[in-house]
Amino acid sequence: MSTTTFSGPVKAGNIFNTTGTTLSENLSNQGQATMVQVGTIDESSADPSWTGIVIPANSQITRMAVLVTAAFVNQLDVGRSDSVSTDGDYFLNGLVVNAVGVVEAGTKVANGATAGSSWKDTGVLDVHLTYEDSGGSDTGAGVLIVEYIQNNNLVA
Amino acid sequence: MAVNPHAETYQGSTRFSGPVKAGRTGMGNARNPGTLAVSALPNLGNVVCSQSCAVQQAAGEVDAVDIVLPAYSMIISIQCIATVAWETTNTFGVRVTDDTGGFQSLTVLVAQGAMGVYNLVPATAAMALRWQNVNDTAGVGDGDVSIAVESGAGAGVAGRGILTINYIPGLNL
Repeated sequence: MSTTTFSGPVKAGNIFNTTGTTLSENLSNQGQATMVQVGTIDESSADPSWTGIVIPANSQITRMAVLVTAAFVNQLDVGRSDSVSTDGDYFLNGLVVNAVGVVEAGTKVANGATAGSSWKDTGVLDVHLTYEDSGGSDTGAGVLIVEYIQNNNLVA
Repeated sequence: MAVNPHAETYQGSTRFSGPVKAGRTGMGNARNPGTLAVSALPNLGNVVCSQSCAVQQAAGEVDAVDIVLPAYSMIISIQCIATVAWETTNTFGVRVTDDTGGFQSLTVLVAQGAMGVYNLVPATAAMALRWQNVNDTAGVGDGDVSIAVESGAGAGVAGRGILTINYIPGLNL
């Protein structure tokens, strides 16, 4: 099928700018489209391995999940590799993916960054997402799902 | 099939025939770490697409609903908001229709015996592979796929809700 591409972010709402304080008249109601990138993961691949996912700078990650199609033996880390640093568990550390299905991750899975900070704002540069699982010849497989709001650039 | 009386009542809409993407394009698959500067890599993401419809238990055991997914889409989440509780002896699940009119499971059956939000998930490798690619099922051809729900033998029972499927159209993973 055909594809429509924007540099982003994509927003929707019928009041573009806030020019007053009256709802439905002049108070912006625009929301950002949630973006998603996915990458296949394979337990037998080298550590770390490349997911094929590149998150734009200053994005907010809203969801990480793994669609597990073959159960893993080992736990999964998701990290980053960019020109600033390489950190194997920057986003997720020790996610248990030992059963087929959908595994939802959260920052409660201790990551290498200060809790939550790597999800709140991915930083001033694009980040490559990597994964590692110490899998050796194990046969786990799945798809890493990363949902994010592009260039939200939040400060908290 | 339940009818949504509020459909298409809110403002204008912008429609696209294909996936909507945002980010930087280019470089094809040459995205290995360390081989290129980060700023040179594509960071293209897909807009999450959603389809929602009303579902009700007062229907056949397996009932087609108003959701049709584009061919080769990937499902990333499925949710049901139960606004009226399902009868407690029946469970709810989501299926995809195959070319013969049969049904292949997308999710495990869950009890929705109370009002609330239920996340529906795959529980077998076959279901997970159908999430990865909705056409990845024996008997499902190359075209779009229609969705059905199963409510057990629940005809005449009051369970009602809103089913939402989030997906990436035409990903063909």
